Amino acid sequence: MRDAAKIQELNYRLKCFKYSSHYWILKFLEDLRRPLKILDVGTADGYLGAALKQQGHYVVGVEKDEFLAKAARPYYAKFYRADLETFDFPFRAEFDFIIFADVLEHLREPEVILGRSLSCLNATGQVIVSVPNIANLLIRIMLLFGKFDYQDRGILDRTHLRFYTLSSFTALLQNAACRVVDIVPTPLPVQLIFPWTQRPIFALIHQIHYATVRLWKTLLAYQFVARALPCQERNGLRNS
Amino acid sequence: MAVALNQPKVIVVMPAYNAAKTLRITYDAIPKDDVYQVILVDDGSRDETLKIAKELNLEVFVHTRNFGYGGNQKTCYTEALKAGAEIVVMLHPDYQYDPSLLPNVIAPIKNGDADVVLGSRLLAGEVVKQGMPWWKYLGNRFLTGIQNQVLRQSLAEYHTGYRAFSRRVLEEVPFLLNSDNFVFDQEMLVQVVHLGFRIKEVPVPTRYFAEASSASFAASVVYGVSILCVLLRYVLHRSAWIAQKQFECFPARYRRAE
Repeated sequence: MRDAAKIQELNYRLKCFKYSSHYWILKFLEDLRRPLKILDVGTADGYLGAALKQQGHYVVGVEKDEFLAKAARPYYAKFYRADLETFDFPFRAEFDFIIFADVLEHLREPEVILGRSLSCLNATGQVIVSVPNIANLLIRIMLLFGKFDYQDRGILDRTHLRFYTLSSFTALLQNAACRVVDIVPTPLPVQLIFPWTQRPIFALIHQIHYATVRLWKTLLAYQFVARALPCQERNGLRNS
Repeated sequence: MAVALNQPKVIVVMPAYNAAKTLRITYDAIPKDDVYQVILVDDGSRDETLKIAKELNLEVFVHTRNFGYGGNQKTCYTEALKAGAEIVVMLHPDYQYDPSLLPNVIAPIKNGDADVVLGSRLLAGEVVKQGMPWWKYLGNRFLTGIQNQVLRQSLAEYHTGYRAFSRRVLEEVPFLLNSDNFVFDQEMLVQVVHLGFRIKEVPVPTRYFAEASSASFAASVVYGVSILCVLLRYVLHRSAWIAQKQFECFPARYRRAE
């Protein structure tokens, strides 16, 4: 019971509405063969791992928090409880995908850790990374009025150490020796804030909302989800 | 045709339509040591293609009627997979592409550097001097530019008829859902990119001459427009507006029950 309460308190849940970051992560994998071998970095309570396991993939998880790790473990074929800042990724070119779902913004050295993880990918391997967009309209308005208040969840989550815009996110991926294949924005999680909008009658409104997000993603995106390949020169970079 | 034991099984497929004049020289130029089998599919030719293919002792399949270039390749790949191919090379029997370069074309797959190899005419230098009509060259450049943008690749061309595939590609790409016409080739490449396979290009000089099959201006325009339609459908699929079955990996549909 205590664990469940603690997890509730931590507020990291599966965002399962259409066009959310988890929707896109599952979408990127949907068309591909199964089972894929996937490394889920920063599993939280395993919501994504559960969805991936259900799709028939082989998933390995890494999580630092003891309570979350305990909850997540059953969904993963293999599980490591470790701090990413010191985790040395003990895998050799075996994964088809590495997923950093809203993880990098919690780290002190995201570039280094992302770069270090790339050696786990096989020849066709890709990374999927999602981060919140600090340049979202709401944050811009708040700053305009001189406010920058941390919250329990969302873009200004208390535990965030790093903040990204579309261009600094792209730069992060490039600095970690990744070539971006695809970056998609996600809309504000209206369905989570106002659950009554989940009714089918609001579907069209959500569609229009998302279409505008796509048109002006630097301003309206809530998060960015990127799919990237390790660069050819990555070996050289790592050795230098 | 002798193949060393530890070599992968390479099968050459030739989608043929009225190729009687060039079939023999194309076949003669194939380096037989590297090839396990040559399969020819005759798409209802009205000349002596079938007779010559039989004389050459190829594995021949005949369509009951003319299905088109894409339909022809569907039969080619299906039969190549049935025959146990590990690498499938598609070679036009019109002698436009040099068959003797086959070892170069299959090398990246053999070495595990790529899953799909394209024999690129444009990497091999001045194609217009080699005989490609200038308007075709311009159209090719234009479409290649758009395709590179949409697919986020940097390929020299997408329109070559000299291609090699690993077995896994042909097992996973649902090519039977593609068009029976010329746009098949483009759909195939979009699928290959979407499903995360690695493409590599090798330069291949070409010969344009009277006997080589060539599309007319009108047919080329229709071809160009249908490529744009494929790209549009792909963008709709990728951005999750309208799902297209064609871009989903076939084995992802099912798995063995536990």
